Amino acid sequence: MSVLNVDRRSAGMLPHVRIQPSRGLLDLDLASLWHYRELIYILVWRDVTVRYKQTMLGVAWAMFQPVATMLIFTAVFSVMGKIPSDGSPYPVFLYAGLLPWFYVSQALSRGGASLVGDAPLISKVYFPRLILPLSATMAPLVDLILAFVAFVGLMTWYEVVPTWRVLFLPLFVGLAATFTLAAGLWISALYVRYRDVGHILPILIQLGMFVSPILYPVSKVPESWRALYALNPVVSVVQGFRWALIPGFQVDFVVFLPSLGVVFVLLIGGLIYFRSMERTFADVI
Amino acid sequence: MSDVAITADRLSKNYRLGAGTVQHNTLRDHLMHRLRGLTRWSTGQSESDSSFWALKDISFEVKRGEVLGIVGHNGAGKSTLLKILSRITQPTTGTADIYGRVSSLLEVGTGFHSELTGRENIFLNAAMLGMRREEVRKKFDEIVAFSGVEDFIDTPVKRYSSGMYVRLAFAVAAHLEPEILIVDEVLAVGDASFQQKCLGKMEEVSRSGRTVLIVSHNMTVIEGLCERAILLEKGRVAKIGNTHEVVEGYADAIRDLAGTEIEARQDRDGLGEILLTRIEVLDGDKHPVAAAITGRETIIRMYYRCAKGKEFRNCRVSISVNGRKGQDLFVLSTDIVDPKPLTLRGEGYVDFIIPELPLTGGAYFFQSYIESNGHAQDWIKNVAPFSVLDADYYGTGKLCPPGWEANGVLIHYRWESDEGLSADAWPSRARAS
Repeated sequence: MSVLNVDRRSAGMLPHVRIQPSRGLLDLDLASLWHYRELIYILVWRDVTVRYKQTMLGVAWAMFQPVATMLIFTAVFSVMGKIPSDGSPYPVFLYAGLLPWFYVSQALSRGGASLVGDAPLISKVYFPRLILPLSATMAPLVDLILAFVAFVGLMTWYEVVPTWRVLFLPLFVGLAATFTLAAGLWISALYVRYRDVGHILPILIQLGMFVSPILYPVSKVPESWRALYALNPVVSVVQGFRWALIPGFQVDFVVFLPSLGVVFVLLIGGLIYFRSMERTFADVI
Repeated sequence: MSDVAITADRLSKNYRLGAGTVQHNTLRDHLMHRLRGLTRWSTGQSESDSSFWALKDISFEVKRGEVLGIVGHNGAGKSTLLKILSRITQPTTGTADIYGRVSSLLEVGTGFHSELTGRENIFLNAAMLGMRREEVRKKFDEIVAFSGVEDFIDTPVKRYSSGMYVRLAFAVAAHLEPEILIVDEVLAVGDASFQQKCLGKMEEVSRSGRTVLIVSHNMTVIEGLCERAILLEKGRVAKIGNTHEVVEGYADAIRDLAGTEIEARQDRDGLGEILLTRIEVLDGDKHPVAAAITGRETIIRMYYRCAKGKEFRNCRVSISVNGRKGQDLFVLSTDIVDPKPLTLRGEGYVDFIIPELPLTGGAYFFQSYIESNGHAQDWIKNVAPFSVLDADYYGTGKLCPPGWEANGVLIHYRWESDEGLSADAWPSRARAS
């Protein structure tokens, strides 16, 4: 939006803001983003607090949901026929995939709806709009941490001891966050314009679970589909999580490269698109 | 340059009609519009005819410490101007330079979350308005005291009454310490004593050398607080300068607007399924008159038209009278007099019969409001002028004292002195014959 340049000479010590039609393809205005950093923190806090207000279990839900999902799928597949899990116990294998998947799906749906969900804010108060998808992508990280605590319990139960690879976990969390932010920029900006997004998004997220190796290992994907499969960033996130958490889990990191490219393009494109749409958010929302 | 707070240079804002909510809220509509656009392009017609300028070439300067009023009708561009200055939306062309921290109170309570407690909402709201956490912590007690909701500070705001909610919200906003404060009609909220508190706060803000921009329909507030004002008309600056002159200009403009046909009015709010079509002023014999007379029986007749084939339950039809400065004098409403819900269908009218019109001579305005089931159907400010010819209300041979023309109401009373003198001020019954 506008450039916040602190020009102290022309007006004593007062900050000077020039309001004008925005130009430029990728003017991120990081200065205002930094200025409003407390708002990011407080919005994350709001999202987390509101989510578990007036619930009996409170934040325990963040653990209960993935554990319950894990139990359901484990039970279903023990009746329907076994799915290979690359050596480790299926519950551990499944949960290591559900962990990032719960984050990705949460971040996508909350990030996607972040602008429309806070429409009154957008039409009434100024702050860098980027803060909304950004904080909505960060809030589910709290749930991820809690769900991870449950995973520690699961590993203890199955006597799975993690190796030094677990130190690389933040890297894959970062990848998941970057991907969901990139997608969230597109989705949230499109959502402002087209309310269709609200209907399409849950379907896409549901589809996402099946085109990512959550319930099954990558080895089950037919060879001819692998090239296309490698473009899905969630594949890299899930494989990374399993590699970091399950000892002896084998991953071919070369397969990660296409999806990293996808995330990069999505992010740059998303930032440009978001910035160009931003100027009309308040008028259209 | 150092004494300038805001310089606006040819600010303009263009809205493309249909670019927003009306035409393409869905992908399909958008695609259809694109297709139509293609065909239109091939026939050489441009799209520019479907756009309008909400603001056009607005230039002005506000000195530091000045309190500037912005007046104008609905749709004159006041809100758009404030939105641009508070950076919510961008101008299409032109620039504005702002020196100092800006806080805008375009709507108090923005960003309040109903599930959070009062305490939590103070921090949330303050962060949204650009206040630092440190700052909020320092002023926390002061904010709570100002709002008067101490006992409920740890209760979720969804359990607050609307009055408490608004007071807390305003308390947060009032404790911001911006160099420039932008206010839009906040004074319309809360009870009288709270409004007084707010006015006091705004005067304090302006006295402390900070710059204030106020949008209000209430000319008394504008005249009381501002030295200078801007009158906007159809997105342009119609008048700028001394508040008194601008307010006069606004009153003239209202007269012009109120003279237009009600059916053609665009500046109305509500669902629009029930529309006010005409207002007539009648005398006691039900003859239409150009002006009512002080103290006489007067009938205000509101004609309405409902959407075809529909019936509306729980309706409320009301009309209020505004004085020459835009202040509300009194309201006549079907539901206050008769709690039985009103059902409207087709076309018709509602008469409000005032036995003894308690207004001094002068030029008043009506404001009309129709609702059904709690939803506003048609709300028009300054819907029509209402002229009253002065007459001897109390039957004493005297007219209203100077300065009170179209500026207050006449009531029944009596006075007594300790020396045993007394007089009744009852309207003369003799006049009715």
